[in-house]
Amino acid sequence: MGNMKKANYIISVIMLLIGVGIVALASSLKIKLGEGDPGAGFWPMMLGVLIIVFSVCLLFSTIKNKEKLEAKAFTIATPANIRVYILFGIIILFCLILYFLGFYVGALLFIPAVMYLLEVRSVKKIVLTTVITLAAIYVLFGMLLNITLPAPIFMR
Amino acid sequence: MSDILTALGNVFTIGNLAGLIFGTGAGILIGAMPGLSVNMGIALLFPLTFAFQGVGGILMLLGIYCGAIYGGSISAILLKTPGTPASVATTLDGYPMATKLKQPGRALGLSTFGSTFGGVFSAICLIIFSPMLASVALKFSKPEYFALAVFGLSIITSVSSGSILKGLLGGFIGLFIATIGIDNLSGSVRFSFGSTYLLGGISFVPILIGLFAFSQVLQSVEDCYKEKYVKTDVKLTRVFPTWEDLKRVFITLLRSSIIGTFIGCVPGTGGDIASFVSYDQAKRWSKYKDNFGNGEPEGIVAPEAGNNSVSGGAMIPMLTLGIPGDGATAIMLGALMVQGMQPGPLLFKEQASSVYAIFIGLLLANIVMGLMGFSLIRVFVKVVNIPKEILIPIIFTLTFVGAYAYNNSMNDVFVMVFCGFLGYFMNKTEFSMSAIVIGIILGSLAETNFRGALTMSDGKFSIFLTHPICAVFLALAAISLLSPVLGPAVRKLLGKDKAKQETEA
Repeated sequence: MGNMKKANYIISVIMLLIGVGIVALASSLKIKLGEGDPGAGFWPMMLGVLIIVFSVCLLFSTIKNKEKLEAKAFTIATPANIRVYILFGIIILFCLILYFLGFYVGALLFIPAVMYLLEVRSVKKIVLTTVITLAAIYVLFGMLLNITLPAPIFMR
Repeated sequence: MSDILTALGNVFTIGNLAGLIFGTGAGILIGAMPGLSVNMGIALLFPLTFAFQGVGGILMLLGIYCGAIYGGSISAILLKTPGTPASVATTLDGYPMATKLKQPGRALGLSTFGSTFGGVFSAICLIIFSPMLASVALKFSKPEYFALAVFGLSIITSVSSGSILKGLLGGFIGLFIATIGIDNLSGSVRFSFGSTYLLGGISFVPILIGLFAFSQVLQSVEDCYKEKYVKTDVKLTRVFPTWEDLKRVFITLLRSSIIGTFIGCVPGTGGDIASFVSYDQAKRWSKYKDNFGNGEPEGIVAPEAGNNSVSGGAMIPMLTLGIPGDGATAIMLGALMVQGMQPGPLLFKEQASSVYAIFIGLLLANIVMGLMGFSLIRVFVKVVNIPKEILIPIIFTLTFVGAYAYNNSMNDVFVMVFCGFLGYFMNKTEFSMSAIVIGIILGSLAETNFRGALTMSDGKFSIFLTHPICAVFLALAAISLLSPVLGPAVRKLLGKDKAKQETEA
């Protein structure tokens, strides 16, 4: 179980780092105050400073309300979460297949893999869902709407 | 007049009408699926509109928007599981009418009629009021536009129900994302790290799909773990409301439509607030208030007319001033920008025929929605029975198609997946995704006009206070941003004063 106190601490630190990073990067851009356009760096610099300020506010607000936030729990390591993390892996793998072998080959493997993960064991159901989905996408996007989908790397 | 005729000519083509009808039908289907929100519906189906040139894509988008709002009522009535948050109030009387009174057809008919009436009413209000507001807004210059963008950004506090601080941080991140790429004013390259992809800025579309559709499906995968599939058997007889029902609900319909349109106009509100306020008012004024909660017809039409009339109401500030009313209109605003429109007062001057096409399109989308609702309701109710293990892989596949279709770029797909993963954890930690999207959408408008205003004043920041309209909008934005902090403090103060007076008395 995770709780909002821990989450807020992590978010504050990440945001603080992002804010500092933005300020550092923006300082290399032109900033000129008092003479018309303040330059390309002023706006992002201001955003970076605001992110730092509000991250610190979040940190202090979390310290102030730590008991209340500690009681606010959310799940991160239940079997249901683990199933989502496995899905993360399947999705990353699908992205690689999509990049190298194109959409249709990728989806042909992706849809059955997701259905299997969702505890579908009926081969008929898996095959029908995959075939109908891909056929519908081919007709709707490929033929009717002329939308190009990722092709295999050797066909690009 | 010529603009109206051009718009009519653009709207009434077979291709564009087909797009609108398809969009409305697809929107209803998505809205009817339990757990899929209006935002998700627009994010998921929006890439379909790329295939349409000009007005066609916008009409389809309007159809999706209206259809998805209405579709939410179907699962609310049949399953007591609202498809969208705006339909929660509909469950209060819709579900009892469908189950206890065994009249699902009557409940769906009333909700369809209420939705159509509310939608058409608000579209007429949009047609009447937005040109008036736009003509006033035409006098605005850069400081006012900047103030408007800040005012639009201030709705972040209302859409960040979990944590306002995290909402604001999300908004700033969104504003920062909008700065990536070539700076429009100076031509300098910002934060691209030598990447050609980042040179053109990060597209709004993959972020939208990632945050609103992809992450939501990941959440559904978690939610449906070990969930038992229950099939709902719905037998519909009559779906068109009877004359008696219509007479009974007419005043409620009118009142709720006015409430919904007005609430829609106020940035930071939305369909959920409109539906609850309409329901509450219907109960207060009803002759049958004791019957509320037991399948009262007025209890169904009030929230439905209320939340559907938000669509036209929210488009008034969106089209005339370029500021979104809620999360869904923020997405619509971004989507219209992707379609080549820049909502704001100048839109009425420079793209008048497109504005009239939106007016006609919204009116038509609501009528088509009603016609489809009455004629195809038997098809739509089947959607609520699609098992999640079939729906989830299909939606995942569609998110990939949508993210790629915008630019034919695999980088967009990677951005979408990254945002989806991030969105899954953001959802758990009460980090508002709408805030990021609002930041991205309004970022360029805010920065360009902020710098433009400073150029006008030779770098003097006092320009934002010396222009009265600008100062008023900035003050309103400050009030809106601080209201979550000031509100409880004021209530506490008033409460204390009251207590003090009572003690003294």
